[in-house]
Amino acid sequence: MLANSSIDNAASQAKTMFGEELIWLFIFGDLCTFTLFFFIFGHARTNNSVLYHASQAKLNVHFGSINTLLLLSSSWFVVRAASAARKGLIQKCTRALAGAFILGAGFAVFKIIEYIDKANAGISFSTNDFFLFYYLLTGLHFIHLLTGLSLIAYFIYNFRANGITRQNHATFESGAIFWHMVDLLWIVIFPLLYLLP
Amino acid sequence: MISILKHKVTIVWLALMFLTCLSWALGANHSIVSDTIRVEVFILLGLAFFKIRLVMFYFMEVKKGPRVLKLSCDAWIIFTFVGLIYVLNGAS
Repeated sequence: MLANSSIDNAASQAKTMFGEELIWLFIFGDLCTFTLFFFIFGHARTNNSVLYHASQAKLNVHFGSINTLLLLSSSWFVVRAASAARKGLIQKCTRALAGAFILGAGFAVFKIIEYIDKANAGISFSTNDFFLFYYLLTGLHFIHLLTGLSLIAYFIYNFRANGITRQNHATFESGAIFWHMVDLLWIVIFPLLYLLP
Repeated sequence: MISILKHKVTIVWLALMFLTCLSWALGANHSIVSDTIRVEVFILLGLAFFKIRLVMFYFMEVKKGPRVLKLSCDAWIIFTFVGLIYVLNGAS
């Protein structure tokens, strides 16, 4: 566990910037890549609105909404975990991370159910352009989600095994930023694919 | 101070949950918002990007970060929101 002075030091560093500078470069690179996909999707939707509307109607808006609530809540748990980590409260931190993991895994389960449902209905990425975008955007997001879940599991293990050190705390804050980005991406993907009129 | 901060983050989370439920209701019942598609697109994406700003500034703690980070986040939000409204405009 960090000594009190180290915790204070870590906390004061975090006040300047939550996470390390490099993670922010990665975040903006990823966000801009997704922005490009969003614009191409929007343009394609505009040019073939009848097909996109008909295809969107085959999606389950309730699955998309519940998944949004799950990810937002998972992010809130990560914020709680970060707060606990700064105070050196390992148990509180790992409990909050476990909550974040369970909610994130819940998202994955709903997404897999949705994929199976689509497969059973004979829908795949080759069905039409809308579903090509659907699988591309949600698939890329799903990979980010699995990466984030792996990170959370790693931090739970690492904090339990080694305590909260200056080094793993800095890495954790960057991982937390990544998890929030997974949330951010879904907040845009959700209305684009499921909600637009 | 810490408890106030924690409380604030919880309020933000509750606001995010409420806004998501609002989007859910609007998306499932398009006609209750407006008969104009452009207005509906603007409202749904506006809610999404407002939620994004909340996540960035309070969950990712950009609010406490350096000015350049705040400006970069706001620039991405505005650019993506305006760009999406522009490319989706023809849909109406």
